[in-house]
Amino acid sequence: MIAEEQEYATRLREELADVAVRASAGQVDTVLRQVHRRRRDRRNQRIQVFTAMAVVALAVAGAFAVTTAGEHAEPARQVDATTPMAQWPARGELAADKDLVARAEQAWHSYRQPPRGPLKPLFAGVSPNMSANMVVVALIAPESGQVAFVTTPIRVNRPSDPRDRLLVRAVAPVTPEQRGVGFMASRPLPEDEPPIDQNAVGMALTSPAAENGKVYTSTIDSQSEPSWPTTVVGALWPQYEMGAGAWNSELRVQFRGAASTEDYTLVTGVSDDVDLGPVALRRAGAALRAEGPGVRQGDLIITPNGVVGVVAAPDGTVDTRLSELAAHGTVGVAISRVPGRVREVGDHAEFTATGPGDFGEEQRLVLQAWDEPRLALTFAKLAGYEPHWLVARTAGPDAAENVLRLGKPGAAKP
Amino acid sequence: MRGGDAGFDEFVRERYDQLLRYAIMLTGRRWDAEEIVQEALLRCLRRWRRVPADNAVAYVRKAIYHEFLRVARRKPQVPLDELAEQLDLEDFAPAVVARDHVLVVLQQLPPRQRAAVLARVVLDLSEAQTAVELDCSVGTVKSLTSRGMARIRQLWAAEQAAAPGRRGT
Repeated sequence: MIAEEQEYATRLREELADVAVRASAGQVDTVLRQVHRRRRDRRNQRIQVFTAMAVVALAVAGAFAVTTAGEHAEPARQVDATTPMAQWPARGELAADKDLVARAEQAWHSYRQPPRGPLKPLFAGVSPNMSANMVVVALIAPESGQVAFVTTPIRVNRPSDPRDRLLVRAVAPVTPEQRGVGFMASRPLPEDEPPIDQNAVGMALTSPAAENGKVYTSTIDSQSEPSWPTTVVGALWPQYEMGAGAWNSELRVQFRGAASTEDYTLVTGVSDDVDLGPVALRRAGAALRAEGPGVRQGDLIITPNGVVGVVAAPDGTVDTRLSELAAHGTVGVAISRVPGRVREVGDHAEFTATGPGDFGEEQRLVLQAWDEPRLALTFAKLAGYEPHWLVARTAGPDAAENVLRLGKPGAAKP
Repeated sequence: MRGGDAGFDEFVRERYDQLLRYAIMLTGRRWDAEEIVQEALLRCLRRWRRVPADNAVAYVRKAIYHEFLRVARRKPQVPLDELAEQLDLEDFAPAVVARDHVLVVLQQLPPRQRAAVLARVVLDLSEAQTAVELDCSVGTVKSLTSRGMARIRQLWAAEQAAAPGRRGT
C-alpha cells in the first residue's frame, strides 16, 4: 500500500476496532440449536424423498406381483370428511403387522388406566425423525372415547426396532366427530435414550379425507407451510425445541373448500407431569371467568397462541393484565432471552428490558412459566418503539381458540 | 481434519463473536449478519469432517463471504439514510457500539471491494491469503483493495469538506 493509502487504512482499522460484539452464551446456544435442527430437517427431507421413491418403486413392483400379503391389509374403504374416527382405515407402513398391533393393544390394556371395549388400530409406522426415532401405533377405543399412542422407546440417531418393548406415550380423549388427534411430549420416558436438545416430540393424525394439516406451535417464528412430512397421508411428526408442548401447540386440519382450518388441542405425554386441561371463558359483567374441571387460583389461562391471563380468584376470575405474569415465572424476549418487565400504561402495555442484549420489532415476549424452560408461553409481540417498546398481546380475553388452563407442575390439587 | 461433528459446537462457542463481527462489517446490519453466519455454519457443519482443524476460522469466514455475496446479489441495497438509521440503535443493540459511521462508509463499497478491504486492512491477511478467501487471483485482490481504499478516501474527503469538525485525518 502506498503511504496515503496506509494512513486511511490505519484510520479504518481504528474505527472498526470499535465494532465490538459480545453474544451471550444463551445466544450462541440458540444458534447452535438452530443450526443442528436445520441440519436434521434437511437430512429428514432427504430421507423422505428416498422413502417416497422406495414406496413408488414397491408400489410399481407390487402391481406386477401376485402375493398373499393383502390378506392382512385392511380392505379399501371409501372415506370422506364425515367418516367417524373409529372407521378410519388403519394407515402406516406397519399397519399390517398383526403382532405389533396386538402387542400395542396389550400395552394399553396393561396401562394404569386401561381402555374399555374393543380397540382398533388407526396407524402403525415409524417416525421419520432420526434424532428422536420411534415406532408409533395409534389405537382407538370407541367405547371409552380415547386414542392411545403406543410407541417403542425413543432411539437417538438410529432407527427404532418394531420388535422392541411398547410403551403408552400419550392418551387423548376423542369425540366421534373429531377429525384430528395428536400428542406432544416434552419429557422422555425412562426407557428412552436421552434426547438431543431436550426436544419436544409428538405425532398427530388427521382424517384421511383432509386436504392438509400441520402441527402449529407459537414457540417458533417461522413455520413451514402445511404439508404432509411423510409418505403416509395424514400422519404428522412434530419435533420442536425445548419450550414447545401441548400447552402452546395445536393440530390444524384443512379440508378442501373449507374457509379455515379445524384446530384440535394436543395432549401431553404421560411423562410430562403437567396439569393441563380445557376451559371455557365466560364474560360475567366486567369480569372474565374461566370455567371447567380443575380450575384453581394461580392457573395460567392460555391458548396455542399465547397467554390470556391468570386465575386470580377461586371463582375462576381471570386477571388479564400482562404485568401480572411476572409473578408466575420469568418474562423476556424470545430467542435472545433478554429479560424484562411489562407494565400497563392506560390502554396499552409497555416492555422494558432489564438486561443486555439485542431485540427488535415483531419479536415475541415469552413467559417461562414457573421458571420451567419447557413451559415457554408466548404472550405478546413487540409492536414498535415510541418512546418505549409497545406490546401487542397474542391471545386476548376474547380468544375464540382452544382455551386451556395450565397449573403449576407439582402443585397439590385441593 | 476431524471425524463427524466433533469439535463443531466448541468451535462455534469459542469463535462466534469473531465470526459475527466479521459478518457485521460485511453487511452493516447485525440481523443480516446473524442470518449469514448461521447459514454459513450450517454449510460448514455438513462438511465439518473435511474442515482443517488448524484453519477452521478461515474456512468458516470464507463460507460467510460466499453467503454474503449470495445474499447481496439477491437483496436490494438498503438506502444509506435508512441504513444509518438502522445502525443508530444503541437502545437495543448495546453489544455493538461505536460503529455506525464507519460501517455506513463501508456499505458504499461494492461487496467484493468491501470484503477485500476488510481482509487486507482489518483482518490483516496477506494478498495471497485474501485471494484464497475471496476465491480470486492476487491481482484481483490488489485491484479490489486499491479501488476500495480509493473510494473510502473519496468518501471521507467529501465528508470532511461537508463537516470539517467531525474528524481530522
